[in-house]
Amino acid sequence: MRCLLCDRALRELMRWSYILHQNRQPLCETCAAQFQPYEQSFSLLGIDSIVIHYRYNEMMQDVIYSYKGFGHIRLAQLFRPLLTSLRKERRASIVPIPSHVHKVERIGFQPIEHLLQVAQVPYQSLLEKVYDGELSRLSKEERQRVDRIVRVREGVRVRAHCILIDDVITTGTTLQQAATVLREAGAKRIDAFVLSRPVKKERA
Amino acid sequence: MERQIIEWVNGRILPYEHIPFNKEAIEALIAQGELEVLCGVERRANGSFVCRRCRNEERYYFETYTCAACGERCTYCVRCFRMGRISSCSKVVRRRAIERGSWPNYHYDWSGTYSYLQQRGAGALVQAARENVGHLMYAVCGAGKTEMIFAPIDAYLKEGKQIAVVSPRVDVILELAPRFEKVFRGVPMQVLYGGAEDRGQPFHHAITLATTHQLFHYDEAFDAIFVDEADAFPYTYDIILRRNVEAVRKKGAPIHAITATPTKALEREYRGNTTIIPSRFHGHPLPLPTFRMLMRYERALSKGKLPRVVGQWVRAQIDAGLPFLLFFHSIEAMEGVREFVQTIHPTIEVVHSESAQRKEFVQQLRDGERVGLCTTTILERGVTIPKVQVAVLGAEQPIFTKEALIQIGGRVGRSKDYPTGDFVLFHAGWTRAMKAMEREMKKLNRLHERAKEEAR
Repeated sequence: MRCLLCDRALRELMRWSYILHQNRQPLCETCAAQFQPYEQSFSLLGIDSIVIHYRYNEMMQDVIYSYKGFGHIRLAQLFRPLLTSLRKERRASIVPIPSHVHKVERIGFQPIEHLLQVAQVPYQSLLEKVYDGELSRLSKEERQRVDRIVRVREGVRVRAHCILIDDVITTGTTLQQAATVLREAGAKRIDAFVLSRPVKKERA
Repeated sequence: MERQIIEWVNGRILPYEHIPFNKEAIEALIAQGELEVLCGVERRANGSFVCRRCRNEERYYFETYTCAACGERCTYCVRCFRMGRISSCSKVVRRRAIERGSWPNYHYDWSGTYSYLQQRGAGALVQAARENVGHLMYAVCGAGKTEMIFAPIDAYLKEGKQIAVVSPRVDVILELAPRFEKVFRGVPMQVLYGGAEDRGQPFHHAITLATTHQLFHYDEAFDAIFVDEADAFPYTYDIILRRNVEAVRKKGAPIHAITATPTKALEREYRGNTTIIPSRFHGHPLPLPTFRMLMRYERALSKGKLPRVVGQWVRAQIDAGLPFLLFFHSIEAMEGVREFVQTIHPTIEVVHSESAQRKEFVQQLRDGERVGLCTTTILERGVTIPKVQVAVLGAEQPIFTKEALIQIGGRVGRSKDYPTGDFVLFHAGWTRAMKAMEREMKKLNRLHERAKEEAR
């Protein structure tokens, strides 16, 4: 067995602990240590609560870029243990933030939806991406000026309680727009479950 | 435009989308047979996959899933996805390198002379070049291998060929570059390694110096390839790198291997096409190893100290004013005694693969600013430090293969004025590797004596 990220061969001990925890694609100690928990509080107007799991550091950036950018679908396994906690949500709708259809054509899968599939979390594809481009390339101000990022798909039923799922949150603009359009369609409570967020470096 | 496209793809294999030209023009060239199109990941009849770009064939490194866009099952290559994902639905384009014919401004500028044995080695390679057959140059450490490949490269350049010199280690490539620039004048040359990769400029170079990883982009590009240190990790252990060297040469082009420590596999492969150069350029034999059994050295290391006799050896070199290299089997073992050795002498530094300044440290050792270095096998090859004395702590550890030990011993006595020195192996038991190393070095010295007789 090899580390999913750095391809190093894993020691026997590592293998068993991962099989016990039902991970099929394990990580070596060095790579696992690079995932840092996000330990700040963050709130956003329009969203009732947000949970952010990791810092968007070099490792997260590389993983997300390899996954969404290059289309390395195998990496979805990395987040399975994290996402399985969503299975207990009975009443709420799990709503993935989608990628634009052009990206799906390019890499052959919807990144966030696939993460949920791998974790066996039932979800509802209530949204579709309008903005065709990389929001990450825009500054905070430019992002807030983007008219439409997401909209509700035609003909879907929006439940009262929705949990938005996304990989990275920077300004929160995407999530806020998503919350707005979902409320317009009838949602009452919107929470967010996000994999990562960048942390500002402290000045020495 | 057509010419531009051909130049772009010339000698390379790349994803269709990476060709920055008009699609119709590309399709026209494909129809004419000037460019070849293949499926990025091919599924063979027996169910196995092969990546056309990086030549990976291991099932584990392929991921298959159902594509949401086309509904089909898609397989992509995990090994080389960072260079642009190659999948069963992507196309790659390639073109065998065009013949250049001649290098009109080429001028060979080497004023050195070969020793009798170097002449033999160089001559054998030139002959192999003429016959288009791959040759193994099995030359001891310090034989002057680099100089010996000047002659055959000159022969290739005079015929307008494009050649590559490849090494698994970036240190070697960086060391060769300035030397090659001085000797092979008036021809375009490129130097490729991690951090200075191929940026897609047209392939028109007479000489390409590259680490083996940089070859992924090329396909049927070179008329001959010289593989330096053909036995060094990761070349032998990584079959993909091996396959890439095979794939980047033009069909039938020879692969010449150069090493002081050929593996059994290499010797078998080049049987009948091998030249042995058992002598160092200065004509002196290889210094033979001395063995000192030290059963409990791990105990001292775990306490953060060097075993007493090793410390004594270190102090003896310092007192005699001789630079030393002390080899350890692992970074951890070495870091554990860092403080201890620095109390013996503050200029002693620790060097390993993650030390960014290792080149500087080695130079400081040469200049006498440092009395010695503790190191891992990272310095086993390629470094020349006059007067250096070498000891290995833990020679029975598995990382010290026969080849590694021979290479380490090869650091001693490389300069004309100081052809001998200590080569001490502190160990906690004998291994096959240690015995084999001793046998081989003695054998090479015997061959060297015989060669000296012949030369008279």
